[in-house]
Amino acid sequence: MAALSGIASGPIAFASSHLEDLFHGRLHGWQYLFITEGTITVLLSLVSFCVLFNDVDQVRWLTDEEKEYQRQRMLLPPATTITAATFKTVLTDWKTWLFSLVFMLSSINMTSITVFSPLIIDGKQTLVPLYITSERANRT
Amino acid sequence: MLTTELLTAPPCVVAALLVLVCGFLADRGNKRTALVVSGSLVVSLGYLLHILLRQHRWASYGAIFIIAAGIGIEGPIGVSWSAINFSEPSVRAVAVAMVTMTGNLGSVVASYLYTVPADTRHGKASTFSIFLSILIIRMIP
Repeated sequence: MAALSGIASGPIAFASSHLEDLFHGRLHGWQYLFITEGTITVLLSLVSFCVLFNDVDQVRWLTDEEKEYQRQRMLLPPATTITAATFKTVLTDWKTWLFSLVFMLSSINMTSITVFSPLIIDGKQTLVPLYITSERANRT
Repeated sequence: MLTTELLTAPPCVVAALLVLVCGFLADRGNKRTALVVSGSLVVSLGYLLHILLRQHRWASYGAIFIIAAGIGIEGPIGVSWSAINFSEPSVRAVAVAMVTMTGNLGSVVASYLYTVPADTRHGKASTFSIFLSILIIRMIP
């Protein structure tokens, strides 16, 4: 998911930095970035409010048989509930901690490359967040 | 400089495609160990190339594709493996939440990784990342 959003965020930042030139610098580049990304998010929330279903019957891609199966499934009482014993089972399993560590280490790689990718590609040393990069790009 | 932000998108395309393919392979093919190990190896190779080719801008940009590919291979396994470890739904839910919570603490370290002063071509940060990838390989039983 982070990779998918990464496809969009770079070009959006690039486009937003051009908006500053377009409107003769009335707002800063990063302010346009907030406006563009915020507007898209608000519009998408309205779309998903209208499109998303509230009931199994409204789901178009399920067959009648699948809908009936899902209805039966929801009528059943939940098999288990989360109690203190559930947490004990999870926390005392060494595999949980190993998976956590593997995920933590790979997330260090993943997050650092995502956050700093404009900086790494650019080959410059100084810490420049994305919004300042776009601003400086306009000046030079 | 201006095109830098546009250049961040293509490696993400590679990563996103590989996340989908490897998520499927891990679930249907049951190849989790192989995927995590090979993903970490690819990440290490990418960082190594990034250090070696740091003088050449476009060559080191190519290395970022390799890093992104490796991250795409090993990424989805981290969470999905912890889910299939437990059969009971409630235990599984708590386990996935636990692994995601502790795993994402790594992002705190990640935010400081490329801010080391006097590390002009990100040699230290890349070396650290290679070390992490090798650590992942060593940990898989």
